[in-house]
Amino acid sequence: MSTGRRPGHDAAAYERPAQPYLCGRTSLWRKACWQGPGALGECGGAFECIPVRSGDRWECRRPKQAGGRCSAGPLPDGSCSHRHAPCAPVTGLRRLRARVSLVALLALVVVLIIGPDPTARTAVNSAALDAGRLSSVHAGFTREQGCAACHASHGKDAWGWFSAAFRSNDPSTGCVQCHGFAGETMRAHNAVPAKRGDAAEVSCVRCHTEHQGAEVKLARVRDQVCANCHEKSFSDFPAGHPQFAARYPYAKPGAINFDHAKHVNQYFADAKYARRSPKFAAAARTQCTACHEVESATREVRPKPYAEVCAGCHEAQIQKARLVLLEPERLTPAASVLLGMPKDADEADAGKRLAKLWDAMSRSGTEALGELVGGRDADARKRAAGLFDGLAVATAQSAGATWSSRKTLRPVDEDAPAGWNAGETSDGQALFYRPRGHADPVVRAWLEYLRTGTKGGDELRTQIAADALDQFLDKDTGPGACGTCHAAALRGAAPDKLESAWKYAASETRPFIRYSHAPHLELLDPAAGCRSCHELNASARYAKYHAASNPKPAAYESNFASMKKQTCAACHREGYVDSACQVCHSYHAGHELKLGFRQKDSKGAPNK
Amino acid sequence: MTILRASVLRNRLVLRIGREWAQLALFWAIGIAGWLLVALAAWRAERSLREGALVTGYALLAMMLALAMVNLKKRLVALPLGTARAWMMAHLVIGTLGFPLYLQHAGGLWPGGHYERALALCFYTVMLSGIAGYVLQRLLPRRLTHLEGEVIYERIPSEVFTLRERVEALVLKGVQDAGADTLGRYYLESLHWFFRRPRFFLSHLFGSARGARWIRGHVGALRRYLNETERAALDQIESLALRKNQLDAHYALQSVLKLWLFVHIPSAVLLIVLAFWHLLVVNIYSR
Repeated sequence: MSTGRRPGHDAAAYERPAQPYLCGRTSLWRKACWQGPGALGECGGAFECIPVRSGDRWECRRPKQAGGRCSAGPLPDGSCSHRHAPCAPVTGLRRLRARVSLVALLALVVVLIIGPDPTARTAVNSAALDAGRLSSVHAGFTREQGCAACHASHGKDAWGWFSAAFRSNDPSTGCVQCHGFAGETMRAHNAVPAKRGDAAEVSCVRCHTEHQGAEVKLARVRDQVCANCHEKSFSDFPAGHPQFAARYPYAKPGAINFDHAKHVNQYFADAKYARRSPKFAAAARTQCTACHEVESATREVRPKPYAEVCAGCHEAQIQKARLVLLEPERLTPAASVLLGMPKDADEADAGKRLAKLWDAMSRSGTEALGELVGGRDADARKRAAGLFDGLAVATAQSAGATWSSRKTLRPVDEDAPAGWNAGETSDGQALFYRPRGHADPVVRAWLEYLRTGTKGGDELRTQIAADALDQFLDKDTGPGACGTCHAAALRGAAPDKLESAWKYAASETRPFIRYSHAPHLELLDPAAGCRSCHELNASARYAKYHAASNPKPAAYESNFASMKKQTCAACHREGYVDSACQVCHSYHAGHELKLGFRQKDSKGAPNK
Repeated sequence: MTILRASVLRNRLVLRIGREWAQLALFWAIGIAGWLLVALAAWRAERSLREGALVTGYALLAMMLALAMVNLKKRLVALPLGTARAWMMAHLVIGTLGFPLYLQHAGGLWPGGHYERALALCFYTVMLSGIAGYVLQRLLPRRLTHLEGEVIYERIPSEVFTLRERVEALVLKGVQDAGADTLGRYYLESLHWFFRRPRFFLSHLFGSARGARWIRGHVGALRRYLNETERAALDQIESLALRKNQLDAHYALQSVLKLWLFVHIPSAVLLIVLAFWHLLVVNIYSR
C-alpha cells in the first residue's frame, strides 16, 4: 500500500488491468508472479526467471521488483533454482464484463430466433416482432393470417426482409381494404381543404396507433393530432377553443316560419289562442318536447308531424281560406295568370277575354282552362291536371254557360264541402276551391305553378305571376293560409327544387361536427329545461325575413339567442366532462366498413 | 516557501474547479440546445403530418452511439480525443437528456410489445445503473481519500499477501522469543481468518468500523494472557491488522466502483443491439 511516495519504475510490477488474464495467485490472495499469464490465459511460468549464460556461467535474471538476483543462482543445467507450482490464471474484469455482455447478447439472440415459441411460422420468434397487443376490433381478423394481414413484408425470407427495409411498408394500404370513406381516402378530412390544399396525404397509422392493447379505442386520437393542422391549436376547450360563430347554430333560416318566441310567450300563454288546444298549449308552453322528438334525436331535433302538433290550432284556418279561381265580373289573381293579363288591365279588355273564356268553358269545361295553362303538350296537361284536380267538367261548363249568358249561379252554402264549387256566396259568384286540409294538392299545385312562373318567361307574365303569388301567399286571404308558414321558403326556393320548400329543413349538414341531445337531457337544469342551452330571443326580428317578398338569408334573425361556448364549457372542462376535440368533432367523412354493414351517421341513419 | 507553494496549489485548484464548472455548463448548454433542436424538428415533422418519432428515434440512436463512444475512448488513450473527464461530462449530459427524448419517442413509460418492453427494460437498466454509477463515483472516491494510503486495485491481493507474511513472521518470532505457543494458537484460531483475504466487505462499504472493532476486541482479549515479549509482538501484529483493515476498505470501495459496470455495460450492449433491431423492424413493417 502506497503512502504517498511514488515507487520507482522497477520497484513494483506494472499492473495491466486491461489485459484479459491476471495471475491466478491473486485469486488465492497471494502475490502475483512478475511474469504474469500469457495472452491466451496460460500460466506465465513455474520458474521465477530464465537464466542467461554468460561465458561459462549461468546468470540469474530475476527482476528487481521480484526480489532481484537470487542468492542461490541458477542450477548447473541453466534452470532457475526457484521453482513454484504453476497457477491457473483468472479472467480480468474487462474480459469478464465482455463475457457477461456476450452471454447476455447470445441469450437475447436465442430468444429472438428460437425463443419460447417453437411453433412460430417465421424465422424470427413472434415475441421479437411483437409490438404490443392489437385492439380488440382488429385482433379477430388477424387470427388466421397473423401479422401478414396488415404487414406485407411479414413472413418473407431474408432477401424479402432486406428489400423491404428499403421500400415503403405503410400498413395503411391494408386499412383501406376494409375502411372506406367518402372522398379522398388519404387526405385530411377525406377532402382537399381549401386552406391546406397543398397538404400531403396522411397515412392512417399517423393518427391511429395500433398495438396499444386490446382496450384501446383506435378511433380516438389525441388532441395534439388535430392541432397539427388547425391554425388555432390549443390544449384546453374552455380557454382555447374559438368562440362559436355569431349566430351559431341558427344562422340559416329554416323552411317553415315558426316563431318560437311568439308561440311560447303569446299563443300558448294567451287563453284567446290557447283555447283552440288548451292541453297542448299548456304542455308546449313549458316543455319543448311537446313539439320535438328529443330523446331519439342526435344533433338534429326534428319537430313532431304537423298533424300531431300544429293541426290542433291551424287546420281550421287552412280549410277556411278558399282559392277563388274565377269570378264573372273580376279578374281574380288566378284568372290574371291564366289569361296573361295584369291585375290592373283595362276592364273592357279583361271583360272581353273573360267572356271568351266563359264561352270556351261552356263548350269544353276544364279543357278550356287547361289550354290556358300552357298549351297542349304533356307537361302542360300534367300541370293543368294538378291545378284543376277534382274540378268536374260539368261544374266548369255550368259556370261558363251561366256567366256567358250573364245569368247568376245558384247560391252555395258557406260551409260547402271541400273541393271545387261554383255558386253564389256572400262574397259574390265564383268558381272556387276549398282545401281539404294541410298539404292540399290543388293549392300546392297552384303555389308551385305561380312560383315557377315568377322565373323565366317574358317580363309581363313574370310580373303577373309574382303579383298572383303575393296574393296567394297572403297569410290572411291566401288560399289554405299556406303563406303563414311557407311563404319565405317558397319564395327562396329554386323553381326546380320546390319540393324542399314544403318540408321541414334539417339544419346545415356538418359532417365533422357531432352532437347528440340524448345524453345531455338528464344534465339539464329541470327548471330551465331545453332553455338551459336554447334561449329564446323575443326581440329578434324573426318575422321580417318570412314576411319579405324577396327574403335574404343574410338578414335572417333567429328567435333563439346564439349559443355561447361558455354554455358547453360549464361542463366540458378539465376534471368534469371530457373536452377532447373528438367529443364534438369527427375527422373522417362518410366512414364505411366494407364488411357488409355501415356506420351510422349523426342522424342515426346508415351512411349512403 | 511552504506557504507560497500552498497558495499556488490552492490557486491552481480553484482555477481547475472553475474550468471544470465552465466545461460542464458548456456541455449542458450544447446538450440542451441539441435536444431542443431535435424536439423542434420532431414537432415540425408532426405539424407536417409526418412521423415525429422518426426524428426522435434516430436522435436517440445517435445519442446511444455517442454514449458508447466513452468505452472506445478508454481504449484509444493514445489519441488526442480530449480528457477522460470531459468525456465523462459529455456522457453524463447526453445520458440525462436521453430520458426526456426517450419519453418523447415512446410516448409513455412502458410500451406494449415484448421486444419493445425488453428495449425499455434495457434503457431503464442502463439509465438507472448510470445514475447509480455517477452517485458512486461522486461518493466513494471521497471516502477513499479519507483512508490511509493509496493502493491500486489489482495490487490488493499482493498487499494482503505481504501483510500476511509479515504477521506470520512476527507470530513465529514471538513464539520463539517467548517460548510459549499462546500467540501462535491465537493467530491460527482467529487472525489467520482475517488475514487470509479481505473481510467485512459490506461494513466497509457502508462506512462501519466493525473491522477495527473486531481487531481491537480480539487483541484486547488476548493481551491479558501474554507476557511482555509476546505483547510487544502483539502490538506490531495489531498495527498490521489495522493496516489490513484499511486495505479491506480500499478493496470494498474500489470493487463497487468497478462492479456497477457489470450491470451498466452489458445492458448498454443489449440496448444498442435491440435499438438496431427496433430500427430494422420498424423499417420493414411500418415505414
